[in-house]
Amino acid sequence: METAIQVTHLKKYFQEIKAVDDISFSVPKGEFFGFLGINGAGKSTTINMLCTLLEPTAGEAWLNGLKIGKDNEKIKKHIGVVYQNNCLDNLLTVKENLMLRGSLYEENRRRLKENLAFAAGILDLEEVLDRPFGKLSGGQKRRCEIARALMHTPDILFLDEPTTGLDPATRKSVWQAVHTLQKEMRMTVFLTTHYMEEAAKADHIGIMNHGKFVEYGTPFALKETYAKDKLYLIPLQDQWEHIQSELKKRQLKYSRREEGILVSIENTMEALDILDAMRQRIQGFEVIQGTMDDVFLNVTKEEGNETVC
Amino acid sequence: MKQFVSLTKRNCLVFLRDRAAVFFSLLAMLIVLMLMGVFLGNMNEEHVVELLKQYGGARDSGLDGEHARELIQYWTLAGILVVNAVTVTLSVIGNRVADASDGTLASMYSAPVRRGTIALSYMASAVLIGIVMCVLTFCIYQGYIVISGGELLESRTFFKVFLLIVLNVCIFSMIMYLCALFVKSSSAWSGIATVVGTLVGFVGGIYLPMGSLPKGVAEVLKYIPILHGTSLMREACCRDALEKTFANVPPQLVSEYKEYMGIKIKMGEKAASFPFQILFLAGCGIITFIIIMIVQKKRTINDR
Repeated sequence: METAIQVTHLKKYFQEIKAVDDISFSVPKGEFFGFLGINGAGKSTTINMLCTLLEPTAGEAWLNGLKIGKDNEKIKKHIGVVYQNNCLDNLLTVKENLMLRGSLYEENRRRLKENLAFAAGILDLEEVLDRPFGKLSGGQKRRCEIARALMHTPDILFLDEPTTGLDPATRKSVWQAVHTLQKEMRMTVFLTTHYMEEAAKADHIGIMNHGKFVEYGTPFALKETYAKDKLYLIPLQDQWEHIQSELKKRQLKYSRREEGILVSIENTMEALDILDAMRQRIQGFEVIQGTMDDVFLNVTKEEGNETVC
Repeated sequence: MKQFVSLTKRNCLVFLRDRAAVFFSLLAMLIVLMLMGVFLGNMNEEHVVELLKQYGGARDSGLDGEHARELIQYWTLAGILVVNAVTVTLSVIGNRVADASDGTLASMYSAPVRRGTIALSYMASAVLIGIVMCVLTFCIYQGYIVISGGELLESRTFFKVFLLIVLNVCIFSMIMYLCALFVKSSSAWSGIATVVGTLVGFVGGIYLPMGSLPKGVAEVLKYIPILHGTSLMREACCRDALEKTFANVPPQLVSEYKEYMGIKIKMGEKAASFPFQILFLAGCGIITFIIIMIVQKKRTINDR
């Protein structure tokens, strides 16, 4: 499979701060890659290096076979970047903004207009083309930003927390557009986000922590490893102690909550066995499947308050 | 080249679309002109008339008064054209500071455009808008001078004034761009704009005649470009009015008056010549440009 992004022992130090500390990974062409990490983990620094904005301290990276540091001008033609902040001009219309930014990549005016029509069409912006960018809603602005990054039909699209601050409906509409692009154009999408449900749709996920690349895998595989299913038991009034001693006996991890007990289980089937044993002592239960949130928290060692017995 | 044109167009549009900002920068300039006319004009006119009175009997005091008014009007216009060159370019270059602080500049850097092209586009937009605003100021005030009984400048003089506007605007665009490289936020830049707007009229010897400044201050000011820019502009604007006003007056008095009013700058014992002043200004521009290139080269985005 062809590789879109290849990163080898990449480092970026700011004096003593090791923002990115020897990371290596690769992203195949046409893949949707989720890049996760807590704030300050080094995600944006990595993206800035891949976008040629930052010079690595050490290590190498290739985009579409072009080497960062050596082929920067060529690389820039192959990538589109959507930043967390809007960077189009509020007082200019959407069309002016897109045409002016697009002209940095494409000199032929006819092709530029074709690109505008394509980007506006795929992101559903035709109706707002003549409106000032500053007057648009948050979702429309984000779609315009993605359109800006698509004005030269790049092979690789970097999205740095593109939906932060948007309401769920708007986020959904932005994601529909991104998925359409990725599927229909076979565009490689490199995403950083704090919304785990967005990352769960990625083909592969890489997780950074304190500048290191600590985990890589498909969402399913990561969930299998890091996100245990949970069983939530609501004991009858006088059965709390009995249930807890039973869980201890079975050497299960659990935590006591206000209305019930949350038990970590290996898989959903294990719940059946527990429920069978506790059937007479509980008034209700719920099986909670592991999520990407659990993966993220476990990998970045942020999860707490679970009692090991 | 197309990228440069696109970026320059974008920078100009971003400034010009802020209609309130454009309106108030024009209004501010007109208010300064009015205030100078009302509060300082009379004082300067009376000074000229007093000087001419020394040559009493042979002179027509009414005509002297009219000539003095026209002379001071052109003197004021020349000063305001330089103030404009500073404040308008400062205002336009403010876009660069805003772009750097809100991430717009990073998005431009990720496009296949040379950083030097982006830098030049900011300066070019400041030059274009600076020239337009100065020419607009010139036309409005020239109209006022004619209405109040003065004469139009000759086309040759107007051409010279235009070239000086271009020279001043180019130099101050570069100086402002250099300053912008060290300013991180728009609020800091607007603070600088307030300080510069207040200082420029005094530092350039524009609001007050050079001769009325303390000697030490006047000596220091001779080594900054704005004073020479103002002096060249005044010499061009006031040439015809000076000839009329000081007709049949000893040349010594005229040269003393020119020095007092900052029309001529004395460097040491001799008055600075036209070529010297042009070279001095061009030199300042070239040095600023070289510093910009050095700073830009060192200032990769490695700076966190």
